[in-house]
Amino acid sequence: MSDHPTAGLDDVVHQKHRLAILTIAAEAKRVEFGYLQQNLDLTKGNLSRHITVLAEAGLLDVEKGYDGKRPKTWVRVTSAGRRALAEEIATLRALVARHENLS
Amino acid sequence: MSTDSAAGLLHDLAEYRARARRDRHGYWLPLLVFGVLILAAPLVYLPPSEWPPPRVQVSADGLFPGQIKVFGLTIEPLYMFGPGNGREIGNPMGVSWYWFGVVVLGLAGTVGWYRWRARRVGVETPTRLVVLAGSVGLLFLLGVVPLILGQALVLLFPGSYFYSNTAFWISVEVFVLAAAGTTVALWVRGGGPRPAWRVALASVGVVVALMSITIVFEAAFGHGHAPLLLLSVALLAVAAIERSAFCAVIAALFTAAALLANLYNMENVFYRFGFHVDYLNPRGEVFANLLLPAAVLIVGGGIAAWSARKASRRE
Repeated sequence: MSDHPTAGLDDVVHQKHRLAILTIAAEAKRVEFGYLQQNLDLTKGNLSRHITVLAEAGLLDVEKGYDGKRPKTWVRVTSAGRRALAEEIATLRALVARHENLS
Repeated sequence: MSTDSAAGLLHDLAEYRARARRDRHGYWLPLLVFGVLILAAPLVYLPPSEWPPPRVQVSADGLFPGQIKVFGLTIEPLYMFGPGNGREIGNPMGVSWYWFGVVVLGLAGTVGWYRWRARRVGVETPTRLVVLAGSVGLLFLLGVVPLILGQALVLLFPGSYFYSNTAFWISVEVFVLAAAGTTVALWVRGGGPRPAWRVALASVGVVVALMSITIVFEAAFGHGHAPLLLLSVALLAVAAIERSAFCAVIAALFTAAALLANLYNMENVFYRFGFHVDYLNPRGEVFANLLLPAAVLIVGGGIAAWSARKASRRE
């Protein structure tokens, strides 16, 4: 018997907001902290914690800089991050497809 | 995890992705700017009656205006940006510099626009593909074509024979043979390392293929609108980085219009609709050829700008 699709879920990635961060970052070259905060409707601290978890897992690169005098933080998805996102999406699709086949 | 939450999560992620893509879209401005610059180009083509062409002065090194010496080789880098063969105008160098400026400053401005927009919106579009496409196209038009036309072809096709139909078709055949030979020499492998003679054969094949395709390219696109093809390549690259179906359609339509401007004399179409182009004024002929490519970009850019504005008002 084949493994249940949920066996392929990665604990670091399989969290709604972290998946959303990876999805948005994978759509662009890099994305700014404020953009993520506004779109995901998260507090600064909460978003910062999610980004730290993803960066420590090697799924995101974080760049800190300035735009004039304003500090800006940009995040960029790594190739490992793109792979992890693709695997997670494939697992979620397999889960949905399995349910549709059973019903 | 329940199936409903998996489906809901996939739906949410698709929405985040679509929104980020929508937010980073900025192709409307390059389309509009290039469209306006192409439409304005006929103004640069000054008829000899208004602007008598300067008396050709050969420098002490024997160089004509627009020619330079690189490692002892004489080339005319802006040849493919010029007004084209057989077009009488008063300021050929002015036309060359105009198109060179449109391509170089236009592409640099496009990259700058995306960077500025990234700082403002917070999501950055990767522009590397546009820079790469533009650089390769520029290298081909500024370096490879003038070098081959100015140097190697003199040895192969002396005199006016180069401009004949026979030279064109021989070049097409030579290109097909050289490209096929190079492919076979490089890709068919017998297990062990590639023998040196096959690498040498492939190198000769690349040079011969490049030379023959240059003759074909000059014959087909040497009528003064080659920069449009370079812009086509750059706009197809913009469509790829934007991942936008609409931008891809506009870039494809522009490419078709650019090929038409290069390969067909659009004056004929104007004539059929009752518009007679003044043959003594190069502006009319140039305008007839550039109107369609410019219109495609201006209409496409206008629709994209309107839809971007509508989307931002909704949010």
